Amino acid sequence: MIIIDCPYCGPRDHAEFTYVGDAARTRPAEDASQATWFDYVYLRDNPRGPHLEYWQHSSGCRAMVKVLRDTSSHRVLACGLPADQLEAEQLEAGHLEAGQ
Amino acid sequence: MAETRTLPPRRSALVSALKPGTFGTLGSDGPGSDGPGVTLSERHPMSVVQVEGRIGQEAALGDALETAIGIHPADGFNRVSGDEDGPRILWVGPCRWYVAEPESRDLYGALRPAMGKFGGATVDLSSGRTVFRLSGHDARRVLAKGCSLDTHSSTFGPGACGQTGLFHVSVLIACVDEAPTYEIYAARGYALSLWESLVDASMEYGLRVD
Ligand SMILES: [Zn+2]
Repeated sequence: MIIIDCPYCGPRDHAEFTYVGDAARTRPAEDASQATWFDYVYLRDNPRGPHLEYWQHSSGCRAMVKVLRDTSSHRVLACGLPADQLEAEQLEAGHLEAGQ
Repeated sequence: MAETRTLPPRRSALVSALKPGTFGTLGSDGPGSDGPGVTLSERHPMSVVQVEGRIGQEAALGDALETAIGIHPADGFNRVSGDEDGPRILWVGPCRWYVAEPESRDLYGALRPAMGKFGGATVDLSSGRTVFRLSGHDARRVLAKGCSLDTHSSTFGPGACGQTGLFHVSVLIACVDEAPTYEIYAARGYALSLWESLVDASMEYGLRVD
């Protein structure tokens, strides 16, 4: 059971959410090379451990939520709005090692 | 310039199923021994209009709503303002609300001119939503059978609302009073299925259908 803390609705069952994708990707410049765009669109790291993701509260308020989830334990380490810098906060809290 | 529309007659989605009466377990030493634990009815016909602006326009949109219909959205998320019998404003998302009232006028026509300048969407959902009223001391137990929302009175008392799944149907639930009484908004196409689920879930507590 995963409980995701929606910034608007509070803690809710993950059944109310839809997984959207990897939140660690940064959109390249429009004129970036084809290889850079291919990497952005298709390639994912699939890490074992903390992973930054977008989930949509699709059965609730429909907002996008940024979630830091441990892929090996399903433990949710942090939740926030898409613009929030969860990774920086978690680095400070010692849940993440630099470079992850 | 506000247009005046003549409203069509509305037909309840529950005409084939809603039969007033008392059902289920009553009169024994069981849960229904002190009368029906649950009362279920449909609020019909209802006007339901969704209004939406862009994030950051909450205050201005709230003022425009107050000018148009006399009430302001409640502060915060997942909150309701207004009375059950008058217009109510229910939070459904960031800078997005339902405005609902028992149908007595062209509510969409009253809101559309005021909302137009925000560039967001004003959508008349009146024909697309069925509104249930679930009340009684066992109402929370009925909800708990079909949804994961925490409806305890300490977190979901009068004035609270929330969207979730109820018996796998997407709903908006609002707590109206401490009975407790809940208003449940569901898509019309799922109304009959949800009605049957609510009736089944209520039978063991004694059910009165109004
Ligand atoms: Zn939410």
